[in-house]
Amino acid sequence: MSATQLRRRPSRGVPATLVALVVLAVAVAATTAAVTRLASGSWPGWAADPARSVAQQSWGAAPVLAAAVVGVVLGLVLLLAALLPGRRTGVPVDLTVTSAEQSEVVITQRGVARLAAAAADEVDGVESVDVSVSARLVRVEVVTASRSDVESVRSAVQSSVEDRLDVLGSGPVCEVRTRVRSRES
Amino acid sequence: MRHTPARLNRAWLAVVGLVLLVLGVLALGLATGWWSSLLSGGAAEGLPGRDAPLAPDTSVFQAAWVAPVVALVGVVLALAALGWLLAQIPRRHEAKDLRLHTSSLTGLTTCEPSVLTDAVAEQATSIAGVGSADAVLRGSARTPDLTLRLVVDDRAELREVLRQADTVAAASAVTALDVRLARLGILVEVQRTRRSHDRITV
Repeated sequence: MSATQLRRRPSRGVPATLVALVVLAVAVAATTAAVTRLASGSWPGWAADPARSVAQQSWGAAPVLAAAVVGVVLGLVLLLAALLPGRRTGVPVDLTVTSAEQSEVVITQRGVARLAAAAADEVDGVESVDVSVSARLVRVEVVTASRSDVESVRSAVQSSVEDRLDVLGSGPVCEVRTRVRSRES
Repeated sequence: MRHTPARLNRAWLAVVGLVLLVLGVLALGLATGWWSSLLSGGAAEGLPGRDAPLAPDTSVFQAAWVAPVVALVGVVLALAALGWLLAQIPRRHEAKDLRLHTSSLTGLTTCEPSVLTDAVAEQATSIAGVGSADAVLRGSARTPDLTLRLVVDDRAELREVLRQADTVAAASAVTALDVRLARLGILVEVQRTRRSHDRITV
């Protein structure tokens, strides 16, 4: 059994599900048409008529050109989805545990955003908080009511968020950048 | 916590993508006449012109062998696609029953992993600031791989939560199995604390 990784790269579940559904639909349609042909001796109209009109198109026709372009673009997109690794999810915490030989501790990015937002929201003078999180950076945008308090609110929010994200006691798990906007400005 | 079929998805997406790309490039070359200008002599003459129909001879579809072949290929593709879709369901891949005996001569002692993980999850839930918890045990009784998912409040003291998850919840699994964990994974999710508004008149 391979070790479970909590910080995973995207599994490409959405494109895989879409492609599988399309292949399933086409395969079921083809099988149904072929079974109808075997049973009744002729291809069903819903399959034969579109197939005939496609077969009669010339190679230089606009629909054929469009279909070819769509095929190339779609092929490239699927290939890139398969080959590009994608970003790992979650924020790692370098915690040393006593109960295991190896450990992996991860906080989800949404979790880090909620911790930061809660910490910022506790600061006096904060009216609203908006937090965005990437793998290594937490951006906190705060709106405060008064213009005169902007700098003190900024430093209080920065300190509160850094303290909340200091999971190991050696600093926050991500770099924190705080921006404060005054509602009056 | 749960496993998703990343390798399978990437492999099949690469195959489908490559097939679409090759067919698209071939069709694009024929539709624009690139192949005729790129290739020389006999090879170019064998290619259909831009005015030629896609399928000049449609009588092949009336041949007796076409329908069975289409049906067979359709069934194979449908089964493959169905299998691919079913593989998308995330799975826990939990350990099989743990064999706790040293020798079968003296009797067999087995334990369902859920007995252990339920207890670990319950202990984790009792940690201050943890709203809910879930545990999965993989591996074997001798090389246990424990993964904990903790849903903590956004005002929880995360340092203390993680310390207790290690020294209390995971440690209980160590005690039960009488072996140090081969691996401990802790996934922390955060939920918003419900705020209640009460009024105090001073």
